[in-house]
Amino acid sequence: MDRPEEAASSLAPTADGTATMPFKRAPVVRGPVRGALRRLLRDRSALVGLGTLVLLVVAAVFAPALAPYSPTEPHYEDALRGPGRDYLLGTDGLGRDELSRLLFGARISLASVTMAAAAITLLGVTIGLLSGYYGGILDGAIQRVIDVLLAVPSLVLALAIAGMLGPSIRSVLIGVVAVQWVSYARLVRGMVLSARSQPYVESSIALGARSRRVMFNDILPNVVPPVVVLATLEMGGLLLSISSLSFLGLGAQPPTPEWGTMLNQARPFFQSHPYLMIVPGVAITLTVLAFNLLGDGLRDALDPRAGRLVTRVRADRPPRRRPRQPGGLPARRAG
Amino acid sequence: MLTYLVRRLAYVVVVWLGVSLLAFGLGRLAPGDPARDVLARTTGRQPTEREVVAERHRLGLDRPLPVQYMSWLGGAVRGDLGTSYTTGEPVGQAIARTLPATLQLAGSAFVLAVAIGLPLGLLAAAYAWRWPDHLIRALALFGASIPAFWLGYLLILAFAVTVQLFPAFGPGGPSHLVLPAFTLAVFDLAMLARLTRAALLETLGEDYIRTARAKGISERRTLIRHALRSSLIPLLTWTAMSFGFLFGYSVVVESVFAWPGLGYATVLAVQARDYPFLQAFVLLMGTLFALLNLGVDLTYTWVDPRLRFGRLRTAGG
Repeated sequence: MDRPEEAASSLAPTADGTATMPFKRAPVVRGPVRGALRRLLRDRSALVGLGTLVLLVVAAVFAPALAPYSPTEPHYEDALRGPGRDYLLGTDGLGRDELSRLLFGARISLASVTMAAAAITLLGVTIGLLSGYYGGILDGAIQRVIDVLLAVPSLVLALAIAGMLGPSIRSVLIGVVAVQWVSYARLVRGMVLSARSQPYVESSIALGARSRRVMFNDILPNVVPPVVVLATLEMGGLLLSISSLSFLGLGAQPPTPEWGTMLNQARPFFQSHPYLMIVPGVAITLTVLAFNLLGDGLRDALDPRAGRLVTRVRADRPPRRRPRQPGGLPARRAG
Repeated sequence: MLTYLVRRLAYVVVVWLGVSLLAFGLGRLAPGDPARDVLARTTGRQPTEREVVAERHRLGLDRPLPVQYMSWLGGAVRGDLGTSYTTGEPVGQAIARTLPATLQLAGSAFVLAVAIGLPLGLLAAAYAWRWPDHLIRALALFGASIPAFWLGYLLILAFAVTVQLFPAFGPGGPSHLVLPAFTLAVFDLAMLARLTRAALLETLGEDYIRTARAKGISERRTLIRHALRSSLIPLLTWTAMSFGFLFGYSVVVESVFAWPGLGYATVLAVQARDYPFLQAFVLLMGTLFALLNLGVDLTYTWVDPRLRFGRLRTAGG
């Protein structure tokens, strides 16, 4: 499926003559990445997800310019106004403009989910790398810790941790990160173990490279891309966990305009003023959906195996569209 | 097989001890002084220093941490999980009172998820890349993206307020169970539908399926008798995972529907910083899931004997 010159370049990553040197970084193969990108750009639903996320980021960045009112300033005389001309999406119980809160809430939601994903990736990669590379007692200890953390449903544990630390968006992030890094660490450990027996790592070790060099220069570049992809796949689920905890009153505290917190505050009004519940709920659902669409597309694009599989299944009826992988969310952790 | 069983059991005990350390440690993670908090709450005023010291002694918080841990664990093993800081009720009793409601809710949601998710996944695989498949995949993606708490309120608005079909809040007859169980089931159901579809499509590519088709067996029979059966093995992992989801999200769903279960009690305990309750809750969850994973592993080895001699595997729980 790749163009011939790409296939050739993936066979010979030494085109510039440097990659033959054992201490250079592990060869980065361009062909599959570019092919995956092309597949991704041809996937309509992934593009819809990407587009939605771009819009959300724009809304978040330009929230101060776009928002008609302050997100926290109350207008008591206009409390609980339904959607209308003055307030496009209505006002909440204190007369704060719902649209402005929604826009500023995008900042908090996107920032917190990005921060959580980054922290999880960093922690998971570091611990997984150490565990897989050094093995022995360190590995055993880390694996037992992971076993223990995996033994309790993640949302339950995150709730307990955030609850113990006291309500704030910081506690929620700590709770979520403390629980979620484990699956990444386990994944990275597995990849490191299989990389250790690869010729490029063995030759590096044989040539006397120090462990730090082997870990960071040889193994790390091969481990990071799949993990970053996994982190992207899971950002939707992460946002669900964060907003669930916020909804329970553990996250951002009023008057901060966080979507989950907004839903929590709308609870007393949900029968009399349902729009207060619908607006932030739609925002959360759309964002999670966008993350999941993009994630699914990303996984399909990275797994060309799917094409073969499907033509074998339905040889009599070749799919008109480019076949997609029989998708499922990644085997995400419980809770 | 016996060696395997012994190794598995030893592993479960190690993990359980780890969970107990985690649960105990969580209570010590909290900022502030629990003794002071308890006094401030029960007396409604700022306690004096002498009272705080006495309360700390009464709660056993002035003893060295290892001693506290051992006595807590010793009590837990005998079924004494301490007393709640807020209600003064023994924690074990509070859990025993609320757990059945949660089991009822999670159990119904599990049945719903299997009863709806599995056929949907089967249908999607049978009509792969045609419109029923597209529709089911879209629905499943939506179901996996909608927050349970929000879905709960939407369902209440739709089926309890606008069309008064089901009661909105609280426990009661079977009709009270419909909305919360469905709310809780949706995420799980969507995951199961996607997993079933993926597993089936993978199996349908196997050689023995081609053989079955070549023998002239009908497509339906091939799908159900030959493909579904071997696809059920990866779905076992889902079972363990699924109870993790269900217990996790029951916390949220119960607080939407004012369902008097363990999840709702946990939210109240978190808000009141009731450490003994939370510690017991984490320990209980860890115990439940350690046993569940053990059960799943043993089922695996029963289904697939090769595993008995291979690596230990753990289902995420």
